[in-house]
Amino acid sequence: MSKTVMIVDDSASVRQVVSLTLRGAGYEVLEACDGKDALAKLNGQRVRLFISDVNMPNMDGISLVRALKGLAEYKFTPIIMLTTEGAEAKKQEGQQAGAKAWIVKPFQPAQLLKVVSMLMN
Amino acid sequence: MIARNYVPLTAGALLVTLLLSLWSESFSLIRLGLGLIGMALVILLANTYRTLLEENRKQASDLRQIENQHRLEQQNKSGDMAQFLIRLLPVWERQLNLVQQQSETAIDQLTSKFSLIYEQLQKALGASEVTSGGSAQSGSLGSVLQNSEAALMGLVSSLKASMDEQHALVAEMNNLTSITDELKTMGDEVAGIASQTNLLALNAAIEAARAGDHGRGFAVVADEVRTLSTRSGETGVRMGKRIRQVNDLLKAAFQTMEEISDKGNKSVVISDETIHRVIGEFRSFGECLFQASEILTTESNHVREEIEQVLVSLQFQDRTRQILQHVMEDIRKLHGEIQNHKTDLKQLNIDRWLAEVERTYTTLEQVAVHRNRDPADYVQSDSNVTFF
Repeated sequence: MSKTVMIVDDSASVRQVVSLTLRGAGYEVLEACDGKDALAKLNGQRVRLFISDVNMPNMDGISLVRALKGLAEYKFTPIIMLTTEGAEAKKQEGQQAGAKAWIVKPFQPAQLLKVVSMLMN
Repeated sequence: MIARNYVPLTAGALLVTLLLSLWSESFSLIRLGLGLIGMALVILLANTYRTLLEENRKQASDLRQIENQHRLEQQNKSGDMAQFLIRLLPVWERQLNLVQQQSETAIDQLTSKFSLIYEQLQKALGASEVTSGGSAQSGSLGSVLQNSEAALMGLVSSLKASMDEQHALVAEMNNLTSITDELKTMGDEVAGIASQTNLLALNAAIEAARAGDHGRGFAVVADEVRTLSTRSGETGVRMGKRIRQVNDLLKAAFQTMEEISDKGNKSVVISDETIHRVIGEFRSFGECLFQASEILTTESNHVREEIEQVLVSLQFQDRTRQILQHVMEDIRKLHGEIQNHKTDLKQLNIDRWLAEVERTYTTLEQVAVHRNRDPADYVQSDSNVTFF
């Protein structure tokens, strides 16, 4: 059974590129346009990993991480922040919220797959 | 101007005094004259000072008037500038919004198209690898050729086995022919025996006739024997005839079988050669196809890598979108502030404003540009991945 990854980003083109990369490697992909949309679409589905942008409308990425860490079924699910933010202060905020990795855009597909694979296993 | 008015008067007074003093021999007149000159000078200086003072006051008043006028003008200009910005800033914001929407739409479409091409290329490469793969891969051209060759060679083997059986049949028929030859010989012998028996019976009848009455019984037996030998002879003839017929048929069948067998042999040989030739041609064609497929695969992989990099590059849109959004938010904020402060733009604190703007930035390049530095200085030189 293929593993499911959820990508959360308000940019349609970023979601498309991430989905293309992950599907090509055999993952199933769920998409959401912001944190609120992500929580609404979860419905207790078995998601093995989250990839989230930071700056999004309705609910930003850091808030989403905190919300996911508060849910029993996703408390230990790894979360990768994929964002244009590169400042150390923001990275620390992400780390404190519970994110496992921080990737600054633009990303290389092979690089993303490597990080996903490492955190999945 | 003041000095010009009073210089001739003073000079005149001095001249009159000098003339009077020269004309008069009295020294006291000179002193009187000098005194008068002094007084005139004092009066002159006082007047000059008063005049200067008045001029200064007038100038100061004029300057204040000009300053007030200037201040009024400035205020009017500032008010005009504020009105100007109140109307202009929303237009800029709308234009920037338009730019952002159009570029986002275009980039999303480009990303979709390139993603589709990428997926189709992946599928095509996968299918090509399967069909042109080596014999180890089932369904590949190599394995199909191998299987086909095995099946056809099996067919040839079956044909050869069939031909061998035919040869065996021909050999058997050959044996039959020799047996029928024997039968023919035996038939001839039977006919000969029947003929001799008939002669013997005839002789017996002659002897029986010689024996008279005593030989009558013997004559009957001799007759019977003659009858039997005649019948045997006839049967022998019929047998010989039949055997000849069977022999002829067998010979004809044998000949036909031999001909068929020869033809069959030739067909098997031709089939064997043809199959090997066709398989060889297919193999050569397959190798050419495989080489062409390898080149296509290599080139397709290059194209796929290029498309991958295009998709990576198109991520710029996410960054520019955020930068444009920050600029639009700042324009909105400035518009709001100007509306609140109306004509007095001086109430806007530019340093605080710039500091607040800098805090909203999400990329390091924005910080660099804000500080009028080279963005390359602010790009992380190490990997853009951080693990926690």
